[in-house]
Amino acid sequence: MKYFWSGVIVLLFGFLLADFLLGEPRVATRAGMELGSAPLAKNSVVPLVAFVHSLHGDSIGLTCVNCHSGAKTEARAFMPTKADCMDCHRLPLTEKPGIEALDSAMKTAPEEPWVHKNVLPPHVVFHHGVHAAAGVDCYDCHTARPGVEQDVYGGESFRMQDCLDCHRGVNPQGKFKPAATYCGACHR
Amino acid sequence: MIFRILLYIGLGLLLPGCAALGYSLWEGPAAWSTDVRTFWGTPISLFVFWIGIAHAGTLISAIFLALDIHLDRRTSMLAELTTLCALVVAAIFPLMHLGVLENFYMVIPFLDVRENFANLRSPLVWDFCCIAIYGILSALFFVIHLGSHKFEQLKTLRKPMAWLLFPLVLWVHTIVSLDFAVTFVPEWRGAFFPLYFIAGAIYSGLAMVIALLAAEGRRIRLLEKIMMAFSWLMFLFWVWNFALKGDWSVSAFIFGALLPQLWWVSSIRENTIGRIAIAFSAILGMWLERFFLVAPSEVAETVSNFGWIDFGLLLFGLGLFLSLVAFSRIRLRKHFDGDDILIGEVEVALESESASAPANAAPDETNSSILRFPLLLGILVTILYIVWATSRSFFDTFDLPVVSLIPIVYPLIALVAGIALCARNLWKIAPRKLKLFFVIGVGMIGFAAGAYFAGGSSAEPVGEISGPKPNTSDPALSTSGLALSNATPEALWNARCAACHGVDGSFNEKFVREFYPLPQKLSSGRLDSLGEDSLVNVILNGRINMNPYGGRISREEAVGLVRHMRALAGEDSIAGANSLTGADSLAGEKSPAGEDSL
Amino acid sequence: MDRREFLKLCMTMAAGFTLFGCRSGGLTDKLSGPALKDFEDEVRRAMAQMKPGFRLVKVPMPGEMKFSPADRENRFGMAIDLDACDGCGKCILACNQENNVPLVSESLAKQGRFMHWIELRDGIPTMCFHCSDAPCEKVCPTGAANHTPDGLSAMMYKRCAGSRFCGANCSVQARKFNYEDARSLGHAKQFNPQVPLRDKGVMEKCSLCIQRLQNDRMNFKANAGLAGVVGAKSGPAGGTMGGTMVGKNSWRGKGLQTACAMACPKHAIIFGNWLDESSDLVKEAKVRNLYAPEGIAKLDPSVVYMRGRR
Repeated sequence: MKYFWSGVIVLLFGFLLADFLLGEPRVATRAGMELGSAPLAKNSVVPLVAFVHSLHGDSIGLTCVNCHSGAKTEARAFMPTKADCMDCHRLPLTEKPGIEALDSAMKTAPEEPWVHKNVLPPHVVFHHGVHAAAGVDCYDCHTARPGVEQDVYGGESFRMQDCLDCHRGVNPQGKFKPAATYCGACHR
Repeated sequence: MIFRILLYIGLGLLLPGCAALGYSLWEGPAAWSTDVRTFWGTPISLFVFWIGIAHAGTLISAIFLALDIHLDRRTSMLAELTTLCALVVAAIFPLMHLGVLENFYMVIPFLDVRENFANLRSPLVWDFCCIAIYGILSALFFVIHLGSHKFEQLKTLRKPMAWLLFPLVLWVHTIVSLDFAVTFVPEWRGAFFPLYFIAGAIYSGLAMVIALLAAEGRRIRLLEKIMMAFSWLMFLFWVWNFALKGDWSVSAFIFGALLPQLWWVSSIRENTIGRIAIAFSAILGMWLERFFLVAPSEVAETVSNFGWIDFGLLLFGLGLFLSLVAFSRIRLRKHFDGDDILIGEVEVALESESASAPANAAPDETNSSILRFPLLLGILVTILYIVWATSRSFFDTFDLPVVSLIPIVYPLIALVAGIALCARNLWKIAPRKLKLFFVIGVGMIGFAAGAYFAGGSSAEPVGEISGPKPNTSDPALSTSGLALSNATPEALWNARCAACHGVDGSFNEKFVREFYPLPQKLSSGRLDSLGEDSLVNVILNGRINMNPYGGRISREEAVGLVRHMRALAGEDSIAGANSLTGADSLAGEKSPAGEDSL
Repeated sequence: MDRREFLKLCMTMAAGFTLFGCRSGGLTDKLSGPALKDFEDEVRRAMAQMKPGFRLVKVPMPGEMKFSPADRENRFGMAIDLDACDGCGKCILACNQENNVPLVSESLAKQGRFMHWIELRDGIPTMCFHCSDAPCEKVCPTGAANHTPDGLSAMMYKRCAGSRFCGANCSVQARKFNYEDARSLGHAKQFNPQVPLRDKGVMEKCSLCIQRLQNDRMNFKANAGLAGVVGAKSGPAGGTMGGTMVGKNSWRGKGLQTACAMACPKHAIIFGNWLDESSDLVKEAKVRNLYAPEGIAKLDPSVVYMRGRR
């Protein structure tokens, strides 16, 4: 009889193990819910040289749209391809040490160095261009969060109530006027 | 003893019933027979049926009490117990019949976290509110009845509660009938539906109580007489329905209206088995009536679709009801017949009081004064709720008309009033453990609600997670902006060219100065000298330091870009006549690095 | 092991299996999706089991909708030319492909419960009529069925609790209920990545190709807004807000077509904007007699039938 509880424990462990091996994570059903495990940009250059947003930003007069070419007009913002990077990185851009490492990393990088999985659920419509046209800056939604390295953009936790607040006209300093809040505006 | 047997019977029925319920939950609405036209079916008919049964208790106990019709404690307790158990059973069916069970909370007419609202125009929402409130108040009523055995102060609460519940019973079943009556299904329309449903509910509820009483070996002639009256009423309704719509379900008529008439035969009436049989015939008739009502298409089709799962659900309802009633009856035995007084204490007290006329007037006065404050509170809260609910726009596309809030007005008043009425007294007499439990429970619910309304914890881990490569064949997921299908030339310029050439056509100072050779400032003269074709070629194929964009920009887009360049140059041509030289000198002065790279 | 322990063990195992069974995946592999031919076969089958039609009554031309936030400029709808329609059923297949309408299994098909958003009833293509006073929306407890200002009776699948009240209250039975999990049964195929696949237990129906309207409107606004920014430099046109645009630059959905309208070989289905005088829809409807099924004729439908010239 002393084996009973050990048997139970082994059994439970077995279930958990099988669950771990075979089970799938819960499928998210609503906007923003799956972001806990959202795949961010898979940065294949990272092992060699990390991409730093702040080096590519205001200091050299670039805006988001120069690399994320769809950010102002298209539904999706897009990630840059290797060709986009090479527009500038063809020539040595600095004399800082480590540039060789960058160059070699760029040479071996695949055609699409960044893969961004669409984290928007399929029943949600979001159009970057419309928001840009309405005067919404990239920074109004995409900001680094506290505790997170300043450099990570995208993959934020967007929840429907955040969208709705802004669309109802509840936003900091009343920057934006109310916009459509009927369901069919953003859902299909 | 008889209840022990009933318990076993109930449990025995519950076993296959649970299997059916489990299968239906797993399989969804495809499991049971649904009407092709209305998508509903067995669970809804069972719901209407059990909610009807659930009216017996409060009817008998509360209405009789309110109207000073004397009923002994054992009967009224049993009736109230019937109400509670039938409510539990009835509440399960509309929940389990949902397609997406986890979305059920969206029915509750209170703001969810996105400040979206349940559609209060829908009878289902009214239904949900009314039944939830009816359940809460019935439970309170029962608890007070139980407690009044022991605690004097609860006794005074019974009658005010009965007065609150009296309209609520009628109200709730009216709302249930509206589920059907407001629709466009021709078989369900009719202004008489509320009365029809209430009559049916009282009828089946009485039959159930009579059957249970008979099982206990007792009978109340008054109830039987009322039941017979209602069987005639139902008969009239059926005739009316037939005259209006031509609907006639024979089986329901036989079981519901004809067979119960055997009660007039004294040998059957005086026989316990006979009485039970009559009650069951009425119950069965009412269930058949509801079943054919919910599935209004061809009777033959409905019956042929009636499968094992439907039967199992029927058994589940019956089994759960029986086991709940029998179990609680056994557990609360001492409250029912602890001191063998068949005539209820309240009624005894009333009768003794009624001997002296002035004493009779006193309790009535206290009743009304007890009820005054809670009722006022209830009305106030309800008005606040209505004002709050109508003042917001929930979905952009509908305004909430005040009319659609009317169905939940009385239940809300009754809820607030009932709780306000009982809270103080119940709190006084509740045992310490229960109080502690209650406080902790409320705290936990409050915390959960608070966390939910605050949006929960938003501290999702963020890191560079290497996700699987998305399906690149899907154009919507393609990661690189190969084509900006939507962009005007200007937007394209800003996205593709402005990094070096600048948004306004003068070079991007910060970038170019340090790292790259200086691109030419746009000027209309220079653009003209080069010509459109050669410029397009430069864009597509590249030139010294200019990268080829052939793979990323189409020829048409390049043409558009060239035109945009011309526009930019034209804008500057007057104001910045010297811009070319100015820019050159600026670069020369400010950036030695630029010269290096040149 | 005595009986008590044995029972305990059994119960633990049952609990474990129950817990394990609650997880999705692993044991139930997704089947490969159906082929286009299966959809064609199903359409043929649905046409063979044709349902009876509705009595049609004359209706006036749809105008502005009555409820308060209705759009002044757009009300999308369709007119189906019954004189031209020969009931070929091509619209059904096109709709299925555009909106990823799943197949149904044999038991449901036998009862005629196809998911097709367009059905032929008595040879007449019948879909949701997008009544502006829609009875389905009134009874939806969660508000999952609701109206857009531009005249679509839209369905928000994620808010649907599956009470099926809307289906009961639709007198033309345009609503289809997802009795099955089409994805795990291998009945669904995502022809169109723009349209999400529906979960088990939710209602669906003709959306008037809402995805096309949304995409077009968004793209239009993205460009119009940009034009506004440019204009702000020189002129007074500073309105860059993404709300309703007024005047000439507003979006009227010109050039848009639903999948069924595009697929119709006889051009019997005309999609358009009822409030746009220059649209083909209005031009055609003005000279024809308009009809709608009797049950919804008083509810101001956006989709009507045309028959005979005026």
